[in-house]
Amino acid sequence: MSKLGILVNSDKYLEDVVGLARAAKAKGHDVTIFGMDDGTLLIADICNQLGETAEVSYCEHSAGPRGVSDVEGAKSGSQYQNAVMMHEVDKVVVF
Amino acid sequence: MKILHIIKEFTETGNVDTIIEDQEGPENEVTVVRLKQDKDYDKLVDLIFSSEQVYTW
Amino acid sequence: MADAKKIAVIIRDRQDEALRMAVGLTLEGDEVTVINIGDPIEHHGDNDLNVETLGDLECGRISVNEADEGFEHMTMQNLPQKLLEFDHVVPY
Repeated sequence: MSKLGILVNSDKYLEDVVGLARAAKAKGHDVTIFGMDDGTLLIADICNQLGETAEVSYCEHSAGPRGVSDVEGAKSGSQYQNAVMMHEVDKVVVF
Repeated sequence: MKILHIIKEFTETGNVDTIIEDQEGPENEVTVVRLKQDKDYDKLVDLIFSSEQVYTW
Repeated sequence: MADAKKIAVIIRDRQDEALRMAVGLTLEGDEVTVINIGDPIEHHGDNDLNVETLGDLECGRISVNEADEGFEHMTMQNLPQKLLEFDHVVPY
């Protein structure tokens, strides 16, 4: 099983993030998502739409000023979670 | 090398086109997916995992 | 680190967030290189500190702008081949 990492750093591509994550999971791949920058604005919607499909975390440093906190289904963290994702996954895409 | 370039819907490619064009050649197999026109995510997943390098612009 | 990945962070427009992320990506021992293909890096506290930190961590710093001090200068013509060296390329 291969691993896909999705870095979400903008709030423009929810459809692509969800569509790609679902397709990857359906094909047996593990999916990890990390949100930062304006991407943190999508984290709640991503969690609502994907449920258990992906492991989701986000950068608290980005989220706080945007009024995002305590997102159910996502881990609030730092760039460390991004570093772990990049280190562990086989492929990375950026939305 | 098998290379995949994913172009997002709102990306202004600019000098990205230069990178893609310069990577095309006999030694590289370059595929470009433009999400504005093609949102076949099943196909995209297959392309991502069959490529050695993936860029998302 | 034996299993270190080679990661390129390509800086396009959001310089500050790209540089902040690049510093963070070193936390798992991966080899991180920043490559600026946009405007010269703006000098302010956070950018200057992150560029300096990347240097201290012996990360690669490459720019197509000669104005970026401390960066290895590379032409856009040579960049596409350079990029082939990396496991992950992360445009920002």
